[in-house]
Amino acid sequence: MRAIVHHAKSHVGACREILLLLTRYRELTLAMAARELRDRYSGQVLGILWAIAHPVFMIGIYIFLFVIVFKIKIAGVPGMPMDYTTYLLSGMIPWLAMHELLVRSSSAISSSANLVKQVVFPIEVLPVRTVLTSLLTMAVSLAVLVIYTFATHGSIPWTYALLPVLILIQVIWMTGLAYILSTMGVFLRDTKDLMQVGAMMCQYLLPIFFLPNQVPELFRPVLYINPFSYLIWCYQDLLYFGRFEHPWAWLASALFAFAFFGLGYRVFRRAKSVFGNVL
Amino acid sequence: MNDEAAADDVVIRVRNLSKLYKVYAGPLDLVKEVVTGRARHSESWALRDVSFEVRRGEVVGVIGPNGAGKSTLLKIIAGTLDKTSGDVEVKGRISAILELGTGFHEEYTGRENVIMGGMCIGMSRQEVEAKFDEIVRFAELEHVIDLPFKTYSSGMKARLTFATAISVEPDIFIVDEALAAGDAYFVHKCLKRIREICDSGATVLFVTHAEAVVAELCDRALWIDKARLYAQGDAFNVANAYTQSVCARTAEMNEAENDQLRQKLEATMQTGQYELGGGGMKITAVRLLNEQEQPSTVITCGEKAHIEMDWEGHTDHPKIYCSFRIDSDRLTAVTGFMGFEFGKFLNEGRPISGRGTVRFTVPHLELGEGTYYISVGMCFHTVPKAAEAILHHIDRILRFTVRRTILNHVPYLYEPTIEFREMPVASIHGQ
Repeated sequence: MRAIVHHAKSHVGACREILLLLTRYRELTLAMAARELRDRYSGQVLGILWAIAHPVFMIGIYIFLFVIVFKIKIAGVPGMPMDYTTYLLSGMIPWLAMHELLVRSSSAISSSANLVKQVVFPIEVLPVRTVLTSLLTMAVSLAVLVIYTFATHGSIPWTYALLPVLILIQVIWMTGLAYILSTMGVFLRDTKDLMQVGAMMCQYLLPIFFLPNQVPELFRPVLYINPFSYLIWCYQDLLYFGRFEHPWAWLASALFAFAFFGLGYRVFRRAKSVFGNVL
Repeated sequence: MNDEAAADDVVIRVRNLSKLYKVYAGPLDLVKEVVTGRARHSESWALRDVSFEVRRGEVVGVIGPNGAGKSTLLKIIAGTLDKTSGDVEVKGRISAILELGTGFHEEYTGRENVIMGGMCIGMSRQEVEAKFDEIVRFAELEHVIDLPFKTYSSGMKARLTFATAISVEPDIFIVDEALAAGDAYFVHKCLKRIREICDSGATVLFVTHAEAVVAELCDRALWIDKARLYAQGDAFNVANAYTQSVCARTAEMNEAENDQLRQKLEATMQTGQYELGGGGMKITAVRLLNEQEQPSTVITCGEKAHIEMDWEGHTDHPKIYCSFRIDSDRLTAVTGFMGFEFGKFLNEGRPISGRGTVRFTVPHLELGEGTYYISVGMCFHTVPKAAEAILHHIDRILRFTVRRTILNHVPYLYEPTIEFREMPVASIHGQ
């Protein structure tokens, strides 16, 4: 019992420590995130506009495919308030951000070896940087979705108002993940590619493409095992259903976010002193 | 009471610090080791049992040969590397500059790079912005600061990165002197800035290869050699001792090179190269002796030195003379001697045969610090001098080093004893 209390205390302690660190280095974190975005497109004519163009085109292709090419109709299916494209996008958008994070955070530390080794630098900032940049992708995609929903339905569900809460949960979750993956990436450089492949497969094991009533009975457990499913259900509640269709998913997401956050930072904190040996 | 106050003053305390590097041949070896639990790495100690203390305001020099563990030590103190065992306590904000240009990116302008680079080494944005003009002025790049970094010459890059790095004002400053780069003028400026920091009362750990700089700037010095703290103490004494050891190592290197040169000597004897006047007479060995008449490859400037040369063979030429020449690594024929110029011949009209030894003595070898090579030859005397007259010549057969008695390094080629005195006032007026 005492061990558990102690465990919980250190978990909360880890969370508080990282919040303090990030508050202290918020300026540096923001500057590093802006820098990473600019680095990615530096020397290009359109520069940072590409960071906006990528998600816009991506979402545009989905809309084109499912509205114009396949013309998937789900009108008449009970409990489905809007069209299939909105349904798909409301799950796809948070997943794209997550996907980006999984891949990019794997090399967050290993690609900045000189910051780790050569100067006294708060390397806790580096994984958070990737969280911020993948949020940009999500923000742009969300904007496209809002426009699309307005255009096709004339209004957006009131539940959009709860979006900041859900995004906060996701950010906490992503931060924890980024700490775990960036640590793994230091010791195993292959993490980046493992994540790339894994995330691609995961996309089809999540409740993004399937309508709720389409999921085969056998396949259901797979959805419930995957923690990311819960996050996607939450997003679908807000962006598509306009009501709490999956109330327990909210509880699960909040728990997962907290668990990943504390665990991730503790893994990172333990491993960070040996980074210099491996990089 | 006093002791306690002194203990409070210690800002860096290192006790029995050791660092073991595990060296893996490839990334797969680490995975295999984790999976199988069997060691798949080789071990290499970078530091063993290093203990020392640094007090507030002290300037401590860290000297030692390359690969001795200096960088590892500084990285562990800076906290960018973990330790294997031992204790490290550090009080105060540390700034370590072990590399220049961290956070700099080719595509951005000098201005953006200074801001980001400054933030990467621990300054806040406001701090960097406040110091921005000073940094740019120090680097003397006001006119190009808004151009992309990639358009700068490498010297300009070095100037800007150094200027940024040196602008931090930490409690404890760790700096590698090797980072002062660029042209001679800028290096001088960098060293001047490092001196200012040392004089400003900051605690400084200063890595350098120049013993004279340690002796001049530092209060104390740590000499790291082969992963151990070899000596510590008064900067001047440690620097002096280090110089001696460098000298010993120089002697070793000279010996090694001379071994190879001896093989060359044997080779020329076999091939007959440089025996333009036909065989018969051969130089079989060349030695350099110091003032104590001991073979040596390190001579202190101003000391007496002897060059000995063994010969054997037979020749009918009536006037045989010996010669030597000293080259430095910068200049051919720094000095030399040719017997005929002074009427010194091995034989006077008679054929000569058998073996013998000749010795050239330089009463005061007043060469500047550096590496030198000795060439020797035997010729017969002709007027005018002709290449065919060379019986045996061996080029650069012996390497030796001249060292100064003073720690400072200077590029002099010739350094005689110079007398200095103040003249009485009257004589200035020529009375």
